[in-house]
Amino acid sequence: MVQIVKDPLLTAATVATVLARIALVIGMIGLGATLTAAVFRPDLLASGPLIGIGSGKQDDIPAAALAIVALTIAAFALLYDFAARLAKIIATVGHGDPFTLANGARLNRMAWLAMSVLGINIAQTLMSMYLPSNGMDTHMSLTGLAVGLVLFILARVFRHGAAMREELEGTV
Amino acid sequence: MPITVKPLPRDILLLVCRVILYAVLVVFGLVLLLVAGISLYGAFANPDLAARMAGMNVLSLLMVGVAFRFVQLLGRIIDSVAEGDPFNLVNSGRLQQLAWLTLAFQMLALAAHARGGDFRILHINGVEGLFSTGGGISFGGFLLALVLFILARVFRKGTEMREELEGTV
Repeated sequence: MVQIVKDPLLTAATVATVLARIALVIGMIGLGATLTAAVFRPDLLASGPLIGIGSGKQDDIPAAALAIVALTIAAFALLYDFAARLAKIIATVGHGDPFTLANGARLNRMAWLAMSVLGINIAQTLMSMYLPSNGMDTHMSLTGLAVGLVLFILARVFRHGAAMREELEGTV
Repeated sequence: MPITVKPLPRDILLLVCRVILYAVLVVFGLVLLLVAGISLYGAFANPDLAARMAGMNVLSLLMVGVAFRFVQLLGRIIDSVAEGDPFNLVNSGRLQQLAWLTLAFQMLALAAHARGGDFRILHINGVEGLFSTGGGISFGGFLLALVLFILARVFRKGTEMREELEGTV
């Protein structure tokens, strides 16, 4: 029998992943609009800056700043995928059995996503060093590495565990 | 009939992860030693700075302790795969502890940041603060804690459901 599991923390987590995804989409739209404006209509950003890119004058928005914004959009897209996978894992609890190979694969993907975001973060930090005055203070942190490592390990734990279970069920 | 689970062959990825984890820990320890060395040196040259660093050292020590426990628990989860079924309440508890440790680490990092700001270990041509260890709280840390809390719950619920199923069969 498959029973529906109601768990307050998991419900809250599902809501959180939905909210995070909405926030990421809003962020992507906002940054995308800013990037487009900065490239095609820099005059729009001249008075009363929408967002602090560059050193204030529309003529010298450095290419590095634009690249950093573009990379941020890419990172948001990856995080969106991350949240979506997490939501799917939570959903499998409601469906009955979360200990599956599919969830192992999802965790593995989440690990790669975390590593990619870390890579983007490092690239941004290196690029921001070349900006004359960076209003965008990018901090490189190694917690991203921890997220990736933990997820890689758990993905493998899931894979082995699920494989063992299947083998056992086959023998019973 | 007792169920025998054949032992798994050594998983290379799990082994590599363990090595990386311990390498990270060693780097952490070295940084701590460096900080301790600097503060000891500073105690003679600048007592005021040394007092500030002392608090920092205590925080660093706590952070290393938390990191050590984190690595230890993660290592036990890795070992549990070789011992048989990893989907049990013990591992669920470990995951939850990992989540709390991550939060604790973030709080310590915040305290270290408030106390000492960035560790400016290197100054190279104006590039400074890049190698800061006390960079305050980070988004990644909270993400990790959240994911761990969720996975701990997934483990617990999944295990409970399994046990219920096995009980009915």
